[in-house]
Amino acid sequence: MNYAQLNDEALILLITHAQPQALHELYQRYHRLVFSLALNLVGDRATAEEITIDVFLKVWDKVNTYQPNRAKVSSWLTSIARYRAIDVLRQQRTRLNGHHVGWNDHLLHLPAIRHNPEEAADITLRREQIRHAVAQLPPEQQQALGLAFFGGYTHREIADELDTPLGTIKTRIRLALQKLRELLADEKIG
Amino acid sequence: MNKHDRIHPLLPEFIFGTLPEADMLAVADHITDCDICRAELQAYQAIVDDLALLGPVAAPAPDLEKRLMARVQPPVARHSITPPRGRLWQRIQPVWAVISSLLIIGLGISTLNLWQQLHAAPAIEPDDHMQAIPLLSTNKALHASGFILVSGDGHRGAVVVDDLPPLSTDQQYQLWLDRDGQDTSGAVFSVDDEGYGLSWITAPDSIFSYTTAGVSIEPAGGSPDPTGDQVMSCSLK
Ligand SMILES: [Zn+2]
Repeated sequence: MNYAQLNDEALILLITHAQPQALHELYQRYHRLVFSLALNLVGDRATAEEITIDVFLKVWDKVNTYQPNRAKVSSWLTSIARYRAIDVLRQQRTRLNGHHVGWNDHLLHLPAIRHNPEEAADITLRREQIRHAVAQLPPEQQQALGLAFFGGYTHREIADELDTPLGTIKTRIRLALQKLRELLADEKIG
Repeated sequence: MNKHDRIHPLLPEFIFGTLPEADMLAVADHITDCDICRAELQAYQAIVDDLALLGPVAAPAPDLEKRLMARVQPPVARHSITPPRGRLWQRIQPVWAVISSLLIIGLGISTLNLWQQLHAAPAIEPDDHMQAIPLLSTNKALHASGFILVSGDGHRGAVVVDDLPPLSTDQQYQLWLDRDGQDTSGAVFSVDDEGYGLSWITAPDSIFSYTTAGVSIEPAGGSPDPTGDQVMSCSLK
């Protein structure tokens, strides 16, 4: 039985069938993606590893909550990771009594693309597409989006920190998402 | 009165997970009923999910998987904590074992027989190359979910759906396989009161030789060509 040949959805079906081998294969495919996202959000390896474990445990325990018509498996994993990481971030900030942690570290990262031989080709391609699309956004939209996404800040917190009206921040984020939607819809078809 | 106007601007923050709890609940409540806002939310969600790909790539400690697996509960213990829910996953679980074994053996067995076998289904290893392809619902059946299950060689397959609207007795659902704009009928099937349905796919060629699959509403018994609303579709490439 070679699980590497099965697609993500088939692995999920096997996980509903309580097959640990399918979880192993899913972990092999996506643990770097999940861990990297968590690390980019919380900035601490030990915490990011705990979040990674939480994500895959949730897949195992709550596989019935996956809705195939709503999201790809990889999107499901990254959204669980993001919500967990934002929880952690917000707890840390409360503990630090309102002190912002690494405010400047939360801009959208646009790293040069290095081919990672252990990563699925479609992820590498998608990363290049999203990087290209984000690079086309005006800098102030990139900044607002980065703070909301990687920083887990509320629109109100971003407005206060940047000393900009709340309505302006909302507009920037909405425009950024709309623009990305247009740009990525084009690329998806091609 | 117009709740969209209040909910719509909250959608980005809802996805980012940064709304106050009361607003999170208000949005969650609204989108279960409102097709427009839910469609909008899904479009935003897809974009935000892609943002996760930005940022430097790093690898966790090599022993992390061991730590994960140590906390994975064995199947028996797990079974008792799975909540009984009517979702496709729950229902497909026994179906999966039987279908996959039949896809391997290649029996052209009827749905009725299949259901009889389900109750005595042994744990069967699925075919190595078997693919499960999710069907995406159109705005004619927003809550529907489903899969096309195809054997590795593409010559045997089944369609499984859930939450499709039940039809009147003079209508049925029909699966179409499309290649170069030419539609071939793959299955004609009905769904039960809960919108659940299952059918084998019969096609003259390998299912993978077609480009897309779609499900439409047709007169009972099926049509030579699609005539009704399309409710689900997927790419086979
Ligand atoms: Zn609405």
